[in-house]
Amino acid sequence: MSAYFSLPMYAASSGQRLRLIAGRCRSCGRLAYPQRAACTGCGRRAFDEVGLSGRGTIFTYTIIARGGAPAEFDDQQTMTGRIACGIVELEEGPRVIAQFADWEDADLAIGKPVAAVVRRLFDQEGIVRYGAKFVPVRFTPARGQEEGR
Amino acid sequence: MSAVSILAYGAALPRLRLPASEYRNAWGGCAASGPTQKAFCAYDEDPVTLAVAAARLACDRLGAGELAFDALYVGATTLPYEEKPSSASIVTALTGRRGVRVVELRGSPQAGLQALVAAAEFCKANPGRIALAIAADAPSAPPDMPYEHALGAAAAAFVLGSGPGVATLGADAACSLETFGSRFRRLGATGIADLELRTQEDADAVAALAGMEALPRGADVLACGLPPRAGAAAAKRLGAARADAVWPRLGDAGTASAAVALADALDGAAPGQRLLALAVGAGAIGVEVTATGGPEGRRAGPSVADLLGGGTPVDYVAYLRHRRVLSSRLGDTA
Repeated sequence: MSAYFSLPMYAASSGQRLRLIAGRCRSCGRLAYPQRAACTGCGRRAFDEVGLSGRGTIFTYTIIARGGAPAEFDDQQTMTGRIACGIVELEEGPRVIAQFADWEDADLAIGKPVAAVVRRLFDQEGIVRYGAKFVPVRFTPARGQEEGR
Repeated sequence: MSAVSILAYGAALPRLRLPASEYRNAWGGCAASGPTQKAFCAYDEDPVTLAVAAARLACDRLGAGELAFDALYVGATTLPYEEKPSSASIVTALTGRRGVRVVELRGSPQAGLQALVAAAEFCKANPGRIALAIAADAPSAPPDMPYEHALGAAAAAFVLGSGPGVATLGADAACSLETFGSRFRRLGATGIADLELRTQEDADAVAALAGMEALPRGADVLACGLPPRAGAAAAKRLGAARADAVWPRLGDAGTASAAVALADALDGAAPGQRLLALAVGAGAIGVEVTATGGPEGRRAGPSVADLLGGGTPVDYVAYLRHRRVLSSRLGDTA
């Protein structure tokens, strides 16, 4: 059994989930991600959409041990073991709750750089839900380049 | 009419690797020809996520933020849905624009280069417009089938248009041959079947392509992603100096094999170097590509060699788990 996750709600937020589209308050400029009806800074309800970079740092994290995952992630946890998730502080300011992917124990530490990638979140009702997860930004010695996504 | 350019390109590989030694431990041998490892999708990856990753790298290399492309051609045999275009997920992940033509090509490993050629034809027919071609695939087969041992996953994306780029596209040619018993998948099945009849169909397809004389001989590199022996034979037949060497560290990535091999060849190509991209399967398709160097930054970020040299090796049981083979809930889904 899985917790029900409304497809219309998912569809309405696909731009946020896949391209990290935030709302910028037209009054005070505060960014809202995920988007919300009213600005948490000034209470106004008018926003412009802006894309976030997907770059950020680990603000905090936790490991969900076997048996502890939400129902829609049951199969993922059974197949892959521990699930890492946490809060990422994006370089534009907003903090977002997300899973980490492609991680090893040494990658998980507060302040470590991460980058957003599109991954499968879960299958439900025969529909694959895609969304953002965050992967460690690793250094590639051969070329001195960042490898994030 | 001016030539269509590859303005930028990018490749993406999953991070997980399965060493060939894991097949020897599990089954007593590795049936694939010459791989040391293969790249395969983690539980939360598929051709859609790889396609997005490759396309984002290509777009980042252009340095223009969100790329305003007009058409998207995706060549893949293992998208999650028979109906409901996965390319709509890909385009949604790349842009908020609505006016994008989205085309999916399937049916054989040729589909990746077919997407490249179709995107080039779009650009020729619509001067000044930009098309994105993506080859992404993660072919699968039942684990007790020797053919499965080689199957990996990857993606490569190419931004096409007019103006200075990293390469220009030249002549292309294709042939289609009906095949019997090799690499087929009936509607509704998730894995490839292959009757292992040891036919020479792929070699016949390359010979047919060579016989058409539509592609110029003398390429410096044949970018095909084929096993070393088959790649060398195809290079000789088509008059190329040598074939690429991505197979031993990538495996068979379906439609993405030739595209990743082309990206790898472009990574190391000097201006003026001539490449021939070749994809084989129920026929063959070839595309002439000439490197032009390209503006600064068009090769920023990880090269294909970096991607092939990286990754995290896992054991065979972890491989089966990530591929959902051991899942009673989602084991028959792509």
